[in-house]
Amino acid sequence: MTRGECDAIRPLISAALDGELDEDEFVRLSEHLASCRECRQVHQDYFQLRDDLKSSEPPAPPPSLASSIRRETVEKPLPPAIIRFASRTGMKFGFSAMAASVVALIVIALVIAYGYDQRTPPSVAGSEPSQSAVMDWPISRPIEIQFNKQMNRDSVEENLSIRPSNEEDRLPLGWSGNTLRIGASDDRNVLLRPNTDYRITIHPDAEDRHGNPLGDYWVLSFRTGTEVAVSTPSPDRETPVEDSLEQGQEDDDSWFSSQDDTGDADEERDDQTQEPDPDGSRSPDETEEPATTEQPEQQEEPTATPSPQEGTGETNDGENVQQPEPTPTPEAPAPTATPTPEPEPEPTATPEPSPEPTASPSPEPIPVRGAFGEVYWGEETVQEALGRPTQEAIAFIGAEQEFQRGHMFLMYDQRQGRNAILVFVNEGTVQERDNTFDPDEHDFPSSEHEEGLYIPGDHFGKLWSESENIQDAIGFAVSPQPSSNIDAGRQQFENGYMIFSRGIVYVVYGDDSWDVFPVRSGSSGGFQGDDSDAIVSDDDEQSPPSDEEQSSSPDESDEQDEAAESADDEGDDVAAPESDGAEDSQTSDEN
Amino acid sequence: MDSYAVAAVDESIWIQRAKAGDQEAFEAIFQLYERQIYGFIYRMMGNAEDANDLTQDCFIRAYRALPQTTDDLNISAWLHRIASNACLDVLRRRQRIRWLPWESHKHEHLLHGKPLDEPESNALRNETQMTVQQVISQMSPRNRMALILREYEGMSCEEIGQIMGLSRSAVKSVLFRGREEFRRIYRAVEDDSEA
Repeated sequence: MTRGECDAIRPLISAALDGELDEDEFVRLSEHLASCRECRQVHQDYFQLRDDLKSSEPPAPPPSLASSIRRETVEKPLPPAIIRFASRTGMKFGFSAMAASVVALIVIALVIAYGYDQRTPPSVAGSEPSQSAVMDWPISRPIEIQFNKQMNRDSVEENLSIRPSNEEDRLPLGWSGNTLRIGASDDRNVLLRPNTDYRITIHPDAEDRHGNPLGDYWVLSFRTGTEVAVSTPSPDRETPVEDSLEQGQEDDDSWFSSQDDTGDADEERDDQTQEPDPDGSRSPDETEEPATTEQPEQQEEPTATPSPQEGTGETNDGENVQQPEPTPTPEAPAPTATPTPEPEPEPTATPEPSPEPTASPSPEPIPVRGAFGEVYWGEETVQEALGRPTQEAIAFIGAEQEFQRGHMFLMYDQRQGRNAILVFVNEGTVQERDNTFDPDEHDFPSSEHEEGLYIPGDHFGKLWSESENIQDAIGFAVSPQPSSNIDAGRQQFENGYMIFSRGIVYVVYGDDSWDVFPVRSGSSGGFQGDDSDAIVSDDDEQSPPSDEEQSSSPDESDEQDEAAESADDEGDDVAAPESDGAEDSQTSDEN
Repeated sequence: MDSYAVAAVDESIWIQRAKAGDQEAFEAIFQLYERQIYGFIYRMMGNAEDANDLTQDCFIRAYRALPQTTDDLNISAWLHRIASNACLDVLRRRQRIRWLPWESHKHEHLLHGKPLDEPESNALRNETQMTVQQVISQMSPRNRMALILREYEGMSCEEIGQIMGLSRSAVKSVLFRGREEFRRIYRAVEDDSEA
């Protein structure tokens, strides 16, 4: 690796930590890091710097500070600027100009204050179904994702992925305030697919209307129920649900119109309904009765076991849509001009799909989050090779030491009593050995073999000294001592595992080969991530969020770069022309 | 000051009211940002005395200038910018003769971002933090500021650019140089401590 190559790659290492790499740069960086020990070390150093800085909190301001500031601000007469402002705006009232300006601005504020601040990042406030593992979600209920503030709808929809992937085109999207609805738009509702594992992902680049990005992946996984939760179709609607799904959803609209919160949809459905819900107690699904069949009042949502009901030949689980019609039923008339019944009362906020199916509960999904999630969900090849996670990520105390042709990695997990050394060989294999070094019994001092090359000591030294194979494979150490890492992590998968250390994820496959991936975002929360970026694997179809598009367009002028360079040499000023930033660029023109 | 529950959602309303001279609104904004600005200045200057003085200076400047700002004011970036300039003013006056040391002993209990299981981890983290503080105090103000805004405050390159008056690509460049500088000084500090 030439010095020039490394010099060119190092800014990319820095940019990677700031989430400022595009795909090409990321690939370039990954390839370089896989083969360049020095730059890998630089990456780790940068990452370590981040961890070190973040782990320190400044002290809280003293209580006296607030009172002293108050004395110098609000307890002093209002600054002349406000009066100037009032006079400039030409306000001539019977009371003081200052008071007038206050009133006027408050009025303006109430008009223009549309609710959400520009600084607070957006987040998902809730969803239906919720993020806890949901089974048998009714296929007639659209998915609802509620944000904490108004979002840039186009941005959210652009950064939305739905698995199975063909559902993205099939399911309409609609908005109601801050809530995104999937499967229901203003003009139509569409059934979800039965017996299907869905994964809804909103990517970090989804923005609120101020341009603040979501920042983390938000993922919702759930499984739909068996069948459509309506009682019976009209005679000309004997198409099995699956078929109707394949054919498109126009025909389904009437089935769901009662769920549509628009008045038009209600009217459309009501045309086919003989009896309005007398007390509004029925669930939305139950209200979708056919027009011509008198139906015993349904007490329950569908269950997994059909139970034919007398006189109707129907079941209450939707299976009837595939049954022959046992009861003569008049031909469904075309919609007539029947007066629209009273609009049905609003269904209860979240009708529960009750009773719960009797199936055994699914196992708790195992999340893959943080740095591990970034690699696992971002690299399909990794995902396929590793299979599903078999346990949550664990933290351990680690130590690393670079060698001529590889590096050694100590994993010490006190809680699980695991004490092992991984030997990564640059050729692409890894060996895991027990760490048998005991400081009370063994003495393996590090020593310099020749200039710049060392015989490792202690933990690594014992293993290295006792194994000629390892010596041949990785050569001598290139530093006298290993570097410690108290925030390393490991997660086990069906066919391998991941190791996280100082900004790098090592993926070790079942055949003992390995890959290295620099963490792009700096992964707030390290390998652990936090709950907000947890992505769980709870099904066979592990659909990842695709790689987020990292904007890297150099949208600013080179002149500014040069200015930054020169200013940096001078040392100590931000680009503000005045020392008092208060009158900077955000001051209005008229001032 | 009285306590005001300032929901973030209401921030724009508070700003508008404060601009109109509403003292309660200004107090609310102050309470919302006091800790953040104080922390930023503390990290820049490295000591509580400067942090106190400059935080006060920052909010007084903000109070006086607020009525003249535009309606689309990004209050966070604006306050950080005032604070940045206040810090650099002081540093310039001192002609970069010396940097006050970090008062690590005064907030040692805050050095640990998360609970640790083992004494050795604590010791290691403590030692590392001492070194980090020492390194930061030796960095150039510009690089230091960019790193603090990025790593402590968690700001994006774009936000840092707003505060420092730089383009996004220029911020990336400053951050890279800052990390390199940090790395270089860190090694020197470590070498000194080993010597």
